[in-house]
Amino acid sequence: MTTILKVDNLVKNFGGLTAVSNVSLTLDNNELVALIGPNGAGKTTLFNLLTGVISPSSGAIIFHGDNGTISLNNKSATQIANLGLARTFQNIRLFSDLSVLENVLIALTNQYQESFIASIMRLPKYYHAEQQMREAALHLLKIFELDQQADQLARNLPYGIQRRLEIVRALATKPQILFLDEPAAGMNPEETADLSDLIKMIQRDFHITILLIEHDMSLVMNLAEKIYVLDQGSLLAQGTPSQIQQNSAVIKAYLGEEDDNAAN
Amino acid sequence: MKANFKYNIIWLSLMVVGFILMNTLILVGIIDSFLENMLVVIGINIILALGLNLVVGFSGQFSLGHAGFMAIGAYATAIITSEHPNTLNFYLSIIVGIIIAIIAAIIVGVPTLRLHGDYLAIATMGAAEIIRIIINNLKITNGPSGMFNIPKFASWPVVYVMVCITTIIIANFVHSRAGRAIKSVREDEIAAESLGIKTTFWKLAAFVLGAATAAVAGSLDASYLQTITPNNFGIMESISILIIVVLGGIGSLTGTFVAAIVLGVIDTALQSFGPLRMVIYSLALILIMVFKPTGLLGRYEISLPRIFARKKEAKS
Repeated sequence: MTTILKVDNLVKNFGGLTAVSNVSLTLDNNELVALIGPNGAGKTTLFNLLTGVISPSSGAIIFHGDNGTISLNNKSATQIANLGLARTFQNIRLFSDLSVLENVLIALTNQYQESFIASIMRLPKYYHAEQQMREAALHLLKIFELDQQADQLARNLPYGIQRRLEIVRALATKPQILFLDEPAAGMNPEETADLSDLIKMIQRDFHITILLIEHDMSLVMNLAEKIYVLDQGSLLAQGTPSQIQQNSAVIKAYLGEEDDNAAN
Repeated sequence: MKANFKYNIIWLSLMVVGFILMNTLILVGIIDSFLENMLVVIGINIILALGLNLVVGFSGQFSLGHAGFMAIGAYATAIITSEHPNTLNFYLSIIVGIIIAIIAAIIVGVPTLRLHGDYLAIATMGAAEIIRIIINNLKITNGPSGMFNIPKFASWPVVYVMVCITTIIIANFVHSRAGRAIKSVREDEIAAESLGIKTTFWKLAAFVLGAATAAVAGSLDASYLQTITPNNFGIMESISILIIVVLGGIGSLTGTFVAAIVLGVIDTALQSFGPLRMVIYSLALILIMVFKPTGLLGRYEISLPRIFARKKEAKS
């Protein structure tokens, strides 16, 4: 397996607060990695650093993509997205007043060309490009069983479907790495099980690397090949799901220390 | 492909039929010069409001500087056609106005479009004031006393054709890849960035296209009214264009048409009321906003494919 993303001693300070301190991690090609940790551990901050929403105070993020090795340190969110790193959000951020189809079409914007003249004069080139974009979007929606809802407004979809649409939209940008920020948040056990299958299917059929933040341990233990545990901004542990389950430091961070004095 | 062609032909024929109908009514005398004047004003307001709706309604950038770009077009036409009054120069002056407005919009837009909401509104308002004050102090624009006896090249047919062209450009722009990118910026800028949309670029694209159409409206306005002063293009003008956009429905081009026509007719009908006119006009605005806060049409658009689909359903 080849490394696709390497994070080296990443630090982010907000004033006096160190939200992420000296975090190093590697993602391999086509690997499914989970990032867990208690609330406030800095997971979302780390996500925002990796996807360019905020820039790191120090450290390095190196992306070994199809187009060579690139440092992502001072790249904007737009640039990073165009390099092939897509994400979803903890609070769903769909274009809620637009249709399901439009949501996906927007993600295709940079993959197709439509000149200003061709689109305002409605030249055949315009119709051709529109047709291609529509077909690509509908094809993707069909894979995720959303093609029946293509013309509905995104805001009218049930919660679980909105989550799925957000993942489809991210996939439409043809990413090499997909970041999922708490995809199972607010889902019932049934929906979570569906999501689990969906993520496995994405990893298998789209051949991409997935990094997910999740609180739902059943999902994480079921899916992840490698787990990183974050606590108070720094990396607490890493390993396979079974290693993490037995790690005393992780148990301590989640459940608190056993009180020895009480026993005496 | 064939269906698309059909819809384009239908729209085109509607425009031609509208033109013939209006001209016949004018020839027969049903539309007198008083009503023709109203139609021209409505037409110019439609062009202005369509451009502003692109900026405010589709890209979601709250601009209060539309009148500044209108002033650029108006003065370009006034200066050029006063020097060399012929039809060719009139059209040339429109193009000159567009080019200057585009340059001004880029200069204004690059720094200000990083701002959001109220801040952007104030920044664009300031930019329009700068344009107005520059015009106020230049010799070539005849300073605060303005320009008069501008040759009249803009007649009802010219305005009608310009309204059609502007509508075609903006409606087609909105329903393209670019239009979707612009709407994504309005809906959620952070999400748009996460999909690789160059948000600053698309905001600027909408702003520049809006400014260009404002310049066209300014040119028509100067040539039709034949008198312009810098004070015509102050903050009140920007606001009255914004009123049309908000009233029609932010993000509905059809709504802009409806609002411009409704306001134009109300305004004309109230001419005999004297000072009470503005009170009634404002009251009408308040009532519409109270009972229809999303504007007359919300985000509704006329769509031929939808109308045909409904007809087919009714038949079967």
